[in-house]
Amino acid sequence: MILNLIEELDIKGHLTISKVYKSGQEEVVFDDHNIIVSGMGVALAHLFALSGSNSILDYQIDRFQLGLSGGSVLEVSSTNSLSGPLSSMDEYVGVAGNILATSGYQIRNNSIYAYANSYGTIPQQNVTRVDDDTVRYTIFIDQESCNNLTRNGSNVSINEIGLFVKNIKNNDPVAPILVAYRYFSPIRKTSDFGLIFRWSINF
Amino acid sequence: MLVDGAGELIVDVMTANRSLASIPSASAILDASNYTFHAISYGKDADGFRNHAHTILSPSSTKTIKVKSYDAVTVSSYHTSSTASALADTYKLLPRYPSPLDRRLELNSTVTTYSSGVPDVGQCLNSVINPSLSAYSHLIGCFPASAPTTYWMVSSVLNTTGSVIFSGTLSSFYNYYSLMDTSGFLTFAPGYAAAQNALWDAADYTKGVVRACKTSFPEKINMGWRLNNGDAGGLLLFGGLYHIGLWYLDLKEMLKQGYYPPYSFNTLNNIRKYKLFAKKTFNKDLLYLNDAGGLSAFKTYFDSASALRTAVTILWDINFV
Repeated sequence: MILNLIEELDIKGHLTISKVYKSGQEEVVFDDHNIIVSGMGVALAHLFALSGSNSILDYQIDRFQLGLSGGSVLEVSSTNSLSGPLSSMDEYVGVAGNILATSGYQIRNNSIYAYANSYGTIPQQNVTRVDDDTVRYTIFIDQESCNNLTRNGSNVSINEIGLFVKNIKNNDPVAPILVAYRYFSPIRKTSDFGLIFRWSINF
Repeated sequence: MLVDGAGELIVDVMTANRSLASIPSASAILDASNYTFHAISYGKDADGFRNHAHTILSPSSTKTIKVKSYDAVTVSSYHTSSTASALADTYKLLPRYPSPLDRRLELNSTVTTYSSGVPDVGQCLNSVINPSLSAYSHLIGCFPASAPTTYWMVSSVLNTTGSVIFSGTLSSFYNYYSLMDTSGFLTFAPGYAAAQNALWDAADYTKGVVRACKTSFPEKINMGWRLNNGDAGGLLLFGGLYHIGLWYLDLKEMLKQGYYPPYSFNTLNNIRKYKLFAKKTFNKDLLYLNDAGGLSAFKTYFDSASALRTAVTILWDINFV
């Protein structure tokens, strides 16, 4: 008897991105499905096999990355990293942003990629059980965060996002693994607006 | 088939309260071992619980498992399909089709013909170890005792003692090693991956179902367990094997009842509550076997006294990638 848990459970996600202006007005700029990547299966295999961390907190999706050079070619299950993730915690936090950022290694291609990566964190209060088998992650990039990003002196836009499970190997420093990915139309982030990513995953 | 309970377990993990980690008395709730597979169970069609060896065949006081064969008397096996064919007017051998909404193996009542005190759990009970049911375990089923349990295959309901086609004894591996509770939940061997892999390599199933993963980055889990001759024979006499269920701990229900981890396994007073993760349903009895070469299949492969008695090793792989 052979089951593929990800396919048979039909784990899928949906991402909505909204701009929120200072006036309070909210504008939906993206509303589509996402890609559950193979890292989700690797994380769940570690959990159910009891071959990784002994704490279920290490199997939670508690962080994300934003990136600058995504593409639809990355929307496949074998994707294990963003194409061009933000390169420092300062890029997440900005000058006076309220977003929380952290750093850690990353699991890629079944090995620990031992270079510092930056992540935005998802606070517990932004993780909501919508129903018995659905979780919604709300990521708020406030007006002061991720603004006016540049590469080689040129302005660049955010166009990819990924969700990460915390630390399945109980590694020190933590080594998150990418579990969901989505490319979207470029958004040049400025202090004129904040961004809300509402990401629901149905298990 | 994975059922909705599988998704619910993952969501339980994803939404567990992180603040519990800082509360010493509650941090054990976050232990990963509470969130994996913990039991296997066996089932069959609901009407099967009121047929086969569940039917009261006098004398009912002998504590002998008795079942009427509807095959020719020269056939020394037991075919659940033959019973269903012979009793077609009253018995439809039809296991419940699997659905993602399932919470148990059989949705209809699985209370047996002898019903006093028999719980409706949707699966095969292990009544022989239940002090309040063991006197009628030859009617309730579905497993023999660890010590040899006598069975009769008869050709007449009215004259059982005078119509024995063949007889013998069955001994339970599960009850010998205390692996199955009274509700029919076969436990998993305890331990994390390294201990499980060692059991797998040694093919040691005396501690329960083994859950192995053979790489440092597992993409699948191998589960294996033993269905020994005595237990297989018991299941067959009581109606065969049409469902297998995979279960995890219902942590919320146990916490609600005041039970806190760790949750040790106890065959007689098992405080564990389970939720269904996946089930496999067969449209033909997994234990179906025929006589061959002049050998009685049942006596040869299942009887305690047979030198050729055998065990089935069941393997269930779950791929994650």
